[in-house]
Amino acid sequence: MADSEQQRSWCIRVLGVDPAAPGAPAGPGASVLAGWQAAKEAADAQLDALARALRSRGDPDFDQIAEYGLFGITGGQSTVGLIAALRGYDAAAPAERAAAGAALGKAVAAWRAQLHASALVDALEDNPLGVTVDLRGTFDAAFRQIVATLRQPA
Amino acid sequence: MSESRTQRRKRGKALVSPLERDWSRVVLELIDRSPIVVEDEAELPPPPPPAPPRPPALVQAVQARMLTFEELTAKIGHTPHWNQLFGKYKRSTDYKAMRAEITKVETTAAKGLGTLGDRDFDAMATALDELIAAAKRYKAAHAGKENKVGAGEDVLASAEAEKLALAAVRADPAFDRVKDHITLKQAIECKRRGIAFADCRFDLYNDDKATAVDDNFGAGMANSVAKITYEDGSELVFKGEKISDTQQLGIASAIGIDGGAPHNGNRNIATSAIAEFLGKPEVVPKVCYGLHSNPLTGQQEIGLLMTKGAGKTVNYKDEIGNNKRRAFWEPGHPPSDDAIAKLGEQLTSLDWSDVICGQQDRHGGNLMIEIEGDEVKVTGIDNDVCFGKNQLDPNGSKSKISSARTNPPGMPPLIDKKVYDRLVAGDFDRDLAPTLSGLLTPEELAAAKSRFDLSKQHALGLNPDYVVADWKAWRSPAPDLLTAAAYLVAAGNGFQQNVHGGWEPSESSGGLFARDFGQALRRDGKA
Repeated sequence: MADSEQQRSWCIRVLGVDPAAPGAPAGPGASVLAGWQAAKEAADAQLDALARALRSRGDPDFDQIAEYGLFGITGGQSTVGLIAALRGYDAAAPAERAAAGAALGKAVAAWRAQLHASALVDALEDNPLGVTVDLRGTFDAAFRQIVATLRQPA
Repeated sequence: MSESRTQRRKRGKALVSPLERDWSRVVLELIDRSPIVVEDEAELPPPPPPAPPRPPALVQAVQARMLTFEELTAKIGHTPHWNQLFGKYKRSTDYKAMRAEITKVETTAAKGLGTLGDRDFDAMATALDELIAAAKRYKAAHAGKENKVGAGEDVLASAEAEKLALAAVRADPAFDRVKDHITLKQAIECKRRGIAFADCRFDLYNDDKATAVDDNFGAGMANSVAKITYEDGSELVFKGEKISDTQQLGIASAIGIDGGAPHNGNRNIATSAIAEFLGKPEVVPKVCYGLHSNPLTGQQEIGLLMTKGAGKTVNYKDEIGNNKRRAFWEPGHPPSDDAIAKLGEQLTSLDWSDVICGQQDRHGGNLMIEIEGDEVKVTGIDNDVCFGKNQLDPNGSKSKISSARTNPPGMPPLIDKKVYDRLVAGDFDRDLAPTLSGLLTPEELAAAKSRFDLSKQHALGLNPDYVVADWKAWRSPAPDLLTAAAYLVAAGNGFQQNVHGGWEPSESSGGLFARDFGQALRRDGKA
């Protein structure tokens, strides 16, 4: 959790995440990568459910969306950068934590901005097949935990 | 969704509502232009091309150099005789046949390798067969005439070797890697030196790609030694690859390196493969073959390119030519504990690589060191004298083989954890033989296997007390509790005091670390 209102406003301004919002704070020494992976698995499970629903319709357009359109959101090169920053933070020695935290903060902010600006994510979350997809909510919860970890004293 | 069945329309066998169809169209369009999906896929780097394989066995066709017709004429002593009576009496028939076939072979060999098809290769093989037949006839026809028989034998030997080299060129699995960059003649020159095309980077490293060349880097050497900077930013040392070595070092001959076919470049590549296998590729230079014009001859040479080791050699020659050991720090100002730990780790890892390679020339001029703050870089350079077929024992310290000695004696007394893990989990036949068999002769390969297996046994004997995971924190078993540096130095520098108080070679040591840094570290209270 942020130590002060000033820190909280920094998190909201720079990272776009409110550490005071609901979300279990990570304990000292918690792996930020593990937090991200848990969120990714949850998001992938939602996308998997949507893919199954799409494929069940037997329509080529739906098949194409199921095949190519979904999982790039939680994978790909920009995600590789985020994962590298998460790993870097986990592996950083105490003296290097501040720098690794700053790099991770930037990576989270960039990735989150991309997620929230994506019209494709809008469309998937608002799908007409009745499948619940909440990628932003899922990842934001993880990011709150990560930010809380970053703000904890070393 | 609450839609009536009539609101749905059929596409193929599927029932999709107009709302769902609109959604799918929007989503497909978004996928097409979504930076999340599209850019990510576009930015993924292409997978690296698979490394081309080497031929299954080393082929070194040393004799594969066609005599030119001028050379043949010089050997025979005259040009072919003219026919007489308008061709009724033919003269020098076989001599002329040899000339014709030599011309055919030369013409084909001058062509770019990539321009030749199977028909051209078959035609060249046929020309060589014809040349061999003509040379045999010529020899038989001139029995008793020493110079002519000798000339015929020379043609025969070179044509036979050229055939072998031609077959090796055609059979090399990495033919495609070089075909657009060299002529057939150059390809055959590779095979004269036992070079596998998999180890060649003629596409990257040729004079057209060079941005700066220092041909005086190794001036005065039999083969050119140049420092070359390339377009890709790499600064490499080029050393022309000898076909044979007429001035072979005694120790090279003692360990069984054939001066007639030394394939020194391959020994450097094999050394690199061992260091890589041990998880320490950085302790020796990265190497490959390239092309460079020799400034003395103007001829384009095939040679070994090596990354230039960082720092300076341990030994140097002073102004009057005496061999001196370099001081890497001022007395009283030793490197940091981190740097000493890294020095120990890297030098000991190089020791392990050297014993497996059977390295016999690791004098201080072939070892480069850079110490900057906490960072250390160790590079064992010039790895020509190793992988001898006679050296089955990794503990073949030079004193056992020759009176001169340049390597620290004995097996390394410590082993880095990474090297240990790789070595004990390794299997020579499975992990190394496939890589080395195209670089070394079968006898050299068998000796390498012997050294590998014995090194592995030695490593197992060091477990667990002398396997070092942390070179700064490690301590020798109680009661001594020595640091790694102190332990290596205590193991000796390769010499021991005899009963008369003088010094004599010992049979064990603390390796390169103790030999080259023990004295200075002791002086500064670090060992």
